[in-house]
Amino acid sequence: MTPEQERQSAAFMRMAQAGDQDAYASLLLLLTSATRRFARARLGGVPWIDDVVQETLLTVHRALHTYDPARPFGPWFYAIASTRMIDVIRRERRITRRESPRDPGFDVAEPSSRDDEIDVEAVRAAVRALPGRQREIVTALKLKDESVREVSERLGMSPSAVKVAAHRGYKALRRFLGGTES
Amino acid sequence: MRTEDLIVDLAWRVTPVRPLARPAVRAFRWLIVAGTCVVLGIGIFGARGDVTTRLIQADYFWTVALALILAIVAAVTSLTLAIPGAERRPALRITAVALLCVWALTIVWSVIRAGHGLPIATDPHWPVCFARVFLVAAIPAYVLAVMVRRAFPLRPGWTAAMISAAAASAGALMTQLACPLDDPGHGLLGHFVPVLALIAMGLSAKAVVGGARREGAERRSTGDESRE
Repeated sequence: MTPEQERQSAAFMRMAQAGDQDAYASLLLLLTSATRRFARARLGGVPWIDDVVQETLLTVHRALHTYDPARPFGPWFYAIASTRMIDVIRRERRITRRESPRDPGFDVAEPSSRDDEIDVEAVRAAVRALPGRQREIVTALKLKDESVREVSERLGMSPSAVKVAAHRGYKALRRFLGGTES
Repeated sequence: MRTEDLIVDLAWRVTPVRPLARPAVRAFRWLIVAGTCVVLGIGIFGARGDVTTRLIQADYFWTVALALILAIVAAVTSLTLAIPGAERRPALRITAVALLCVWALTIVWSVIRAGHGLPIATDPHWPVCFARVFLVAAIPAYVLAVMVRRAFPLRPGWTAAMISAAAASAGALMTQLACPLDDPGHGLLGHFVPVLALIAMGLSAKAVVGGARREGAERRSTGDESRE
């Protein structure tokens, strides 16, 4: 971040703390490129740079009130960016440790034509048969492609409650469609 | 979620916020709470009879001073660590650890010099002092943890350790001023070991302080990556 960018970021930050949405969007755009450069300089061309950027932006959003306008912006921002970068590196390492390379001997067989045959009407009927809240959640998650967070915010439920209701809905659907519940 | 969508979403959700006061100012507020607890503790348990005489003797004075200074330094450190980027150099953390080490060395040296060993079974009073340190430290620890969580600690382990060190030192300070026993073994078991125990408890409860990381995990579990 150049001194000019830092000065600009600090100015945007002061306006964002006052609730200015445009200034905040400009700040986040500035920080996106700054985080991307910062992460790329340290990690190279890893495919999860965007994860670092998004985690950093989310943390900036939650820590907005901790920035002291009388202090320089750079140390505040880079403390967040470096911590989030380390968090993402750790998460990626954990994932890499758990995953093993695919064994070509266990390639999945081509689906049979029977697997492709979906009785759309039966599925619709099964969804219609679900209780109201379950039907709404399953439809939102599976047919409207909404995220759990979006559904939980819209319905005023916690994300965990949405997941539980969706899980029950899937079990009920399996039962209606003649599959096993496990 | 694409980064551009996230920016739009965050910008739409921004509301006016009041920046937090500086760590020194917040530490001063906490010191008022901790000081009140120490005074209340002395009021309840009673100050030792010869406290004014003992305070001008070097060994007692330094034990009390170390507890007081550690409480202040650890509180300032925890509140500084709770602000991203506020800690330019780890000088405060090093000072807090050094103070704790000096306190430990001083008290262990006193026990060795006295040559009585540790009165674990012979002294029935040390568990009482041990409990008093915990009792007096409880409210300052809670208040400091709440103050820290209002900010955004990026190093939950260090922050939790400093919170418990500050609160435990306040508890030890009160016990030091109330307890009439000068035996170094009693001082170690009843006044200093609870400080170490509280720091260990704070370290094991760092997740309570590290709301920041927990929220990050929550986002991951509710965001696009985990569609049902």
